[in-house]
Amino acid sequence: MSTPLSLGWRNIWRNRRRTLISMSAIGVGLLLIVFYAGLVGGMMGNATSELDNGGLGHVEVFAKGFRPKREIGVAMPAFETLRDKLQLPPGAESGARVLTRGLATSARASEGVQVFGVDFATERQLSAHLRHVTQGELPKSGDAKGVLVGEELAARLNVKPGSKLRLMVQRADGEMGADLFRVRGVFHSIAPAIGQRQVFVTEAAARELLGLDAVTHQLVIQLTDPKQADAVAASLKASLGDGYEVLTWGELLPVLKKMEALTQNVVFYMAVFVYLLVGLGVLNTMLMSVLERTREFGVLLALGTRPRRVIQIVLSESFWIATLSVVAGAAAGALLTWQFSKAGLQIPGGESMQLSGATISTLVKTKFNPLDVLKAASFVYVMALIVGLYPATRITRLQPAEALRRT
Amino acid sequence: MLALAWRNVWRNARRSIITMTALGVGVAGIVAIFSYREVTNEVIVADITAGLVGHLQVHALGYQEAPAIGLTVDDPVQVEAALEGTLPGAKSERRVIGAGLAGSGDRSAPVMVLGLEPGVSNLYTLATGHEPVAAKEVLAGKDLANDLGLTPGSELVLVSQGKDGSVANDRYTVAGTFTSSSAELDGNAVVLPLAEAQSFFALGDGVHQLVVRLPDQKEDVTPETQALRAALDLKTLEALSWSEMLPQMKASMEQKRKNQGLVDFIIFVIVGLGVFNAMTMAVFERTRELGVLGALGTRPRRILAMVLLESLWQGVLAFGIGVAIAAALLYGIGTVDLSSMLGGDVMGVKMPTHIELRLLPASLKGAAITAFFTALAGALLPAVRAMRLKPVEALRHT
Repeated sequence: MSTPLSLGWRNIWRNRRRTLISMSAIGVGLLLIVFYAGLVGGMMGNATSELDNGGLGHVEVFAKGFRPKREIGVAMPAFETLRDKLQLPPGAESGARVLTRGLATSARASEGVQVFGVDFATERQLSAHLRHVTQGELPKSGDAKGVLVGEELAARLNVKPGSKLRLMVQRADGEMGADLFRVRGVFHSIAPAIGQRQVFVTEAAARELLGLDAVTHQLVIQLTDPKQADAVAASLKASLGDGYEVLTWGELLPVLKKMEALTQNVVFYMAVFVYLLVGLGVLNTMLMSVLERTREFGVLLALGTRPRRVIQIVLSESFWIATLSVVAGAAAGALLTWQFSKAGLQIPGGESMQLSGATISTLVKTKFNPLDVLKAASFVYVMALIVGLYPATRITRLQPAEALRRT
Repeated sequence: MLALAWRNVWRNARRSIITMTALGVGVAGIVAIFSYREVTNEVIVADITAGLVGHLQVHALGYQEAPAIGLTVDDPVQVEAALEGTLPGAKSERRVIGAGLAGSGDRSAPVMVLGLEPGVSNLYTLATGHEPVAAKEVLAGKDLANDLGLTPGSELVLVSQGKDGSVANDRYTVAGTFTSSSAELDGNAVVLPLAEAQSFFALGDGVHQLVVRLPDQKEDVTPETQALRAALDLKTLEALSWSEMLPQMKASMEQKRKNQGLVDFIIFVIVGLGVFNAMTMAVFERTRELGVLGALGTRPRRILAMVLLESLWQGVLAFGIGVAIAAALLYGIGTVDLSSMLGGDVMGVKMPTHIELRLLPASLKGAAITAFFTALAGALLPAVRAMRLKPVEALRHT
């Protein structure tokens, strides 16, 4: 005696072409959803793991009271004294910055800028744009008058390596302070806003300009896994104690959290839409395949087959169709996702998108997430169940005598 | 023939209805996505053109590429006359824009110093205080005021560089604070009356931007830009459309439009496969009948047309169903509140918070084309098969 499963298997191959067409519709739908989920997941993953595109950290520390008004007087001890208190997971990078805002003036024009006083060797690990110096070079350590500017700012101010640049800021004592610097290098950032606004000098030069002692304003920590941020932040809070504000990327950039939720919804609605389309097409096919076998089912029922068993056979047909298309669709989707996970897929429209302070690269390295595939596959099975159930229930209402009379 | 195909549609009503629903949902998707996108674009363009950027701007040549305090339009009256002549009904606004450092007490911030024509500009809404009336009165953006601890009556020192290279430095009183539709302005701008800003930067009568707003709200202002260019001295001046000044925003809008093609294609493939299966069934069921028709001398081309028309009828009905679903969806949802999902600014342009959805007639064209080709392509192979049936064999078919 054959099981419903093996009967179903044989049945779907009775009209091969029709079955293959149904399966390709389901498979293409699944492929699309898996790939799209990989694209969106990759984009969000890049945005949070590569925060250094925007010079942001996964965890940042400030002196309590600095952030609201960015008061340069509210500072932390220098990095050297804090370093011992940081217990970071392996692979993490950390560094400190002296921060202020000021006016950069060249012979041609003036622009408002954010001045970063950094240790260039560590800052290279914290800000992606410091690894993309296009002209000149990074100021050497101990270079008291060297400054690194972005391409956009260099164009606006008409400066190049060697040019003079005056930085004017408000000093810690409240007086206006200005100093003459020399452009040593020009960097490229994928975010035009960074290239236009950020300038980098050595820590010592920034302190000198601001009239500050050996202090720092911001501690930046880059993690290899953004999910560690909460744990790292909690341990930092404990070891640093009061007087410090420890923030994770989720708190610094709530927009990224919101986007994660939003994109999840988008994938969900897209799946509903696609499977509504696919489901209606497959429903038609299943219905046809059942109706054309009315006589055959009539014979089965007349021979005493229980209606339940007939339903099982029909459902097993849609189960097999679903399973084969899931395997094929998921495999193709995974392959496509994997293909773009190495080199990345360039989305048109500039090198990056700026979303409320976050910089998201448009070169998306897609991320294959087995959970997405499982979710999408479960959609297919739900759809197959619904689509199989309707034709199956029609059979149970069949009277064998009538069914046999049909041609 | 049309009537015959129409009747064929209803011979297996359930199957036709399911096929048409699938195609209809596809049409609804196309119409709804298109309408949502274009309505959002309209709102964004309206915000851009009503705000900081305007439809068009006239500058000194080279200003857009690299703004500098010295690059001014020295005779704005002449430009305004040219504008009056070429684009009747357009309004223009003179602006001075420079970078500076604002200090108050022991705090300071780099700011955008914005000289605006009093009574003409609608860039901002007062939050506290009053409009500048006395000499040396200025307004500060809400977030900037917060940063620097400014309230009406506070003193504010502005430092910058004048046109002649000298240090520009003056003391002002904050008359009030303002909010605007731009995060950039709220956080960075100090607004001065135009004349005050001109004297601060030592510009004489010169201005940096003449911001032009057209009487009609529109996205593509290329013809107007060209008309204005023809009337200007392009050796010293430049005229630019908003899309030339915000190329990234324009590119992202265009990209989203191109993506529509992908959506259409996906729907075409998936629904097309469904149509194909259904029409194959329809032809298969009628093999004998088609054999009779052939035996009676019906031309194969007529049989081909009959099957295609049957599918096209379904396409037409599906189009109607789809538009109805899309309308129900769009008007049912009504207003989308984007602020709860993704507030803030994208590429420096503040995103709209509320979007009132409506069905755009322009969306119907793409949907109709997709529906037509899906119905046609899905039925093509079955129709060809129907046409090629040999009457003798077909008659033998049970």
